[in-house]
Amino acid sequence: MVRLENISFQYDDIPLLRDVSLSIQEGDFMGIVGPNGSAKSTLLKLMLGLLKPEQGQVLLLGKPVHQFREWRRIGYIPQNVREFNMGFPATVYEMISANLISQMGLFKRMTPKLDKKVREALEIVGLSGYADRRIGQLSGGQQQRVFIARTLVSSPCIIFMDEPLVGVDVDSQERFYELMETLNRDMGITLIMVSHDIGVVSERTSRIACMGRNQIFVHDTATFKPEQYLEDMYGEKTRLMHHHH
Amino acid sequence: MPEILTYGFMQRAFLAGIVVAVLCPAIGIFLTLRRLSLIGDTLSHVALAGVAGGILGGIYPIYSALIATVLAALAVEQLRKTYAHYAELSLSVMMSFGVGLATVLISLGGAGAQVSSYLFGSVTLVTRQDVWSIWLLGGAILFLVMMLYRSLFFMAFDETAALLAGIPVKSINLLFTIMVAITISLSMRIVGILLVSSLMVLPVATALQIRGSFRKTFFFSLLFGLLSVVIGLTISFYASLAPGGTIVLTSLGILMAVSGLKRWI
Repeated sequence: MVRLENISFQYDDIPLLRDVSLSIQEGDFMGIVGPNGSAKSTLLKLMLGLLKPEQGQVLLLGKPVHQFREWRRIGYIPQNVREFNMGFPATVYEMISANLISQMGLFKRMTPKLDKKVREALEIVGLSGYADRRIGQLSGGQQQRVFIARTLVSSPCIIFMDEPLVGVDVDSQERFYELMETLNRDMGITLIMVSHDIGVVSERTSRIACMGRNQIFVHDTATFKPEQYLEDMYGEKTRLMHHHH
Repeated sequence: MPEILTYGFMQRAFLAGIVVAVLCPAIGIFLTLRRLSLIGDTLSHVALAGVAGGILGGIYPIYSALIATVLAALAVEQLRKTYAHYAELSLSVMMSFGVGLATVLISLGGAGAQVSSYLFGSVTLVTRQDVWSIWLLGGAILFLVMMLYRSLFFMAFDETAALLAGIPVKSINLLFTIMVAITISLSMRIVGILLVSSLMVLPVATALQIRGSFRKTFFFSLLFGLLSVVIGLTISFYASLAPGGTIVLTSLGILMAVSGLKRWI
């Protein structure tokens, strides 16, 4: 689904990634973790072609990302929840239908077929009764699900998420992961999620990409141990220390 | 027919005014939501330089203002890249340039009196040519806004997601900036250069108070713009007040009335 081949990237002369390769398979639920400044979001932007690597190439669904045109097959959920303008005058329905724009005609009108897609997406995320609510009236967790519905409406085969759970309460996080399981297992959507919460990610995802020292280390979640994370981050000699007070 | 409409100049003022009345908020709503309200101010100051230049050079001032604002709009887009971290700096730079150039051009020759009719708006001087230009170009821009409505809405909310949804964000941004420039050049005859940006912002600010869907906010912005111009022009005619100022004060009055009503209801 996504392949990074020998990617190097630097920002303002600070190297962030050095000769990194990574392959994401169909049906993966990949968590990307790492400390602050380890270029997690940068990696996501490289995958989406929003940033250009200095060296190497990115393949998205088998195509070099700069030639990629089938954006409706790609879903993207931004960090918006925390920087979101609560006063923005838009309903849930308007937000979600905006993502169908490439399927609309010249005058971008909704059709019954497109309307049905919006209703279905709302149902999947459990917000059926909320179509006419203003986005600012919803809780952080509900807004997050609106963004997921906005992505689902164009039937993507892969969804990228950049720290989707920042500012979302614990109950909503639980609901979020249940929803992700539905998307991943039942609907067969490949998921890629950037997160700083190594604990939760290692419980919920199928593979983990640890970023550190300008490199990426990929593990299967089933055999992954937190000690490995520190080793990846800081080198071999680091050990998990327990403090006794 | 009411007395006010028996005068040829008031007929022309209303004909031009109603187009400007819906055009300004239709553009202004996207500027406001993208927190770019200042761009209206900047480009209108450049329009002043365009008008002064046009009068000096014997060019129809709306067209010379049009050329000046479009060029300035393109330059602002370039400057924005140079000062990526200080977005409003590019606007300040361009505004200084506009005012500076306008002052020099005005001081060069006897254009002062004519320039002030554009500065404050002068509906009595609206010509047949003005009406035609405003209807043709204004109609074209309204048509474009209708076509780009959903893309502009999406971009105002989340530009990255819009890009990933397949919207040609860069081209639309460029086109939209040019639409802003044209709107300003067309509107200055009615409300005046100094007040164009008010008509872009005030009706939108009022509509935002209603807290409805985007469609509703858009519709009410246009409605409040229309009310401001029609009521403002009528008052200015009967009370012999400056039309541009009266329109903007009417718009402000509507804003306060809606805020008050909201608290009361």
